[in-house]
Amino acid sequence: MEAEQLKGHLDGLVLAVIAGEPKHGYAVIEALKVRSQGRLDLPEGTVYPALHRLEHNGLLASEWSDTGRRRRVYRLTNKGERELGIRRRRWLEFASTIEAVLT
Amino acid sequence: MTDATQYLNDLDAQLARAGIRGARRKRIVTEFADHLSCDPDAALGDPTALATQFADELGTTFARTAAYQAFVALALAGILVVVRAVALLPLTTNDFGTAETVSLLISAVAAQVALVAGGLGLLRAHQLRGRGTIPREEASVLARRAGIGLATGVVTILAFPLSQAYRAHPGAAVIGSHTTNLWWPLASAAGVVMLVAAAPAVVRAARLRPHTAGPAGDLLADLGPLQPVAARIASGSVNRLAFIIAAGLAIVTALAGVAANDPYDGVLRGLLEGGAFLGGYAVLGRYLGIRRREPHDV
Repeated sequence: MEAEQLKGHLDGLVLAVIAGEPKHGYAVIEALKVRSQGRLDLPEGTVYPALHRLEHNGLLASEWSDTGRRRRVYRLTNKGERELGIRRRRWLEFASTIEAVLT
Repeated sequence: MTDATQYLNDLDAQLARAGIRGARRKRIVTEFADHLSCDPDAALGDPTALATQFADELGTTFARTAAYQAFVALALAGILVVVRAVALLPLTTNDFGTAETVSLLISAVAAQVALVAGGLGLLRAHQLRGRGTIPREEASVLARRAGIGLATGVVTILAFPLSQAYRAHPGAAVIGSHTTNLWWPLASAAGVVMLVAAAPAVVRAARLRPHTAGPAGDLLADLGPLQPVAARIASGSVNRLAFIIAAGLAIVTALAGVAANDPYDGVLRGLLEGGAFLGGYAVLGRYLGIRRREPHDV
């Protein structure tokens, strides 16, 4: 799946992989790869602007972690959890509608 | 120099070129350094493209935030201006000298500019809310509307207190004759604090703007779902729409004068109101993205 197809979905995917536990940038990208079974093919660096934007919009919060290596760890805010819930519901509705027509 | 170090230096330079400064740039480079230390072979992407993406995404969100924050600050300051007006109600026209009259006139004009700039900023930000990236020119319009709104908001609030400071004999000034009335100075100070608190968001939006090229919309684009109706009424011309709004303002103001049994004064004020609107449109229309810039200006 290429980056172009992910447009509009990247924010939801990032929120979903951070929802389980706080993660730093590299771990977010690894989680995206693992959970998509390697099918998400996007330049790794492009996730960072999304992380910064989501944080500015109050959906994520972040702080430095100095456990051996200085890294920025992101976690979902309450607003981010609500937004993730909305995106999940919208996606399920959309997917079930398309599936009903296609199959 | 290792490949990773070279990459991080390139990224740092490109982020600087894209307008990303200070702590944010340092943070981004640190995050990428951490990523490369986890996976030295990671395909992070071209530094120039990444810097542009950061500028586009953050510039877009900064511009929208500036518009929203400016509007909220103006709305709260507007409430405080009303509180101040109520606190000043006990004053009679005898208390007003030239300084107060001029200051109130300046306040009246500045308040209307603040209302229009802040309100249109909110409208444009709302119309652009679903867009991941907006053109640089649109972001500039949002930042300008927010900036002009806040600046004229401060003028609205400070004009009257400054008229008091201007008085040669403080004892004769309104502030001197109403020293027991603390509401209006407090409301003025709180209003200025509200507006100044929103200024950093505007500065941030002005300093980091998206790189994506493209024209900004005009007054019709601000109207969203009402655009087709407004375009039909004004035959698609923003200038004509401005004339219609000015005429509407003039008529409403004149009718208010008639209702108050002062038709002559009402008509005069209506003409002034409509004229002031058109004057503001002519002077600030292009700068605030109310009418389109000519192609060579884009």
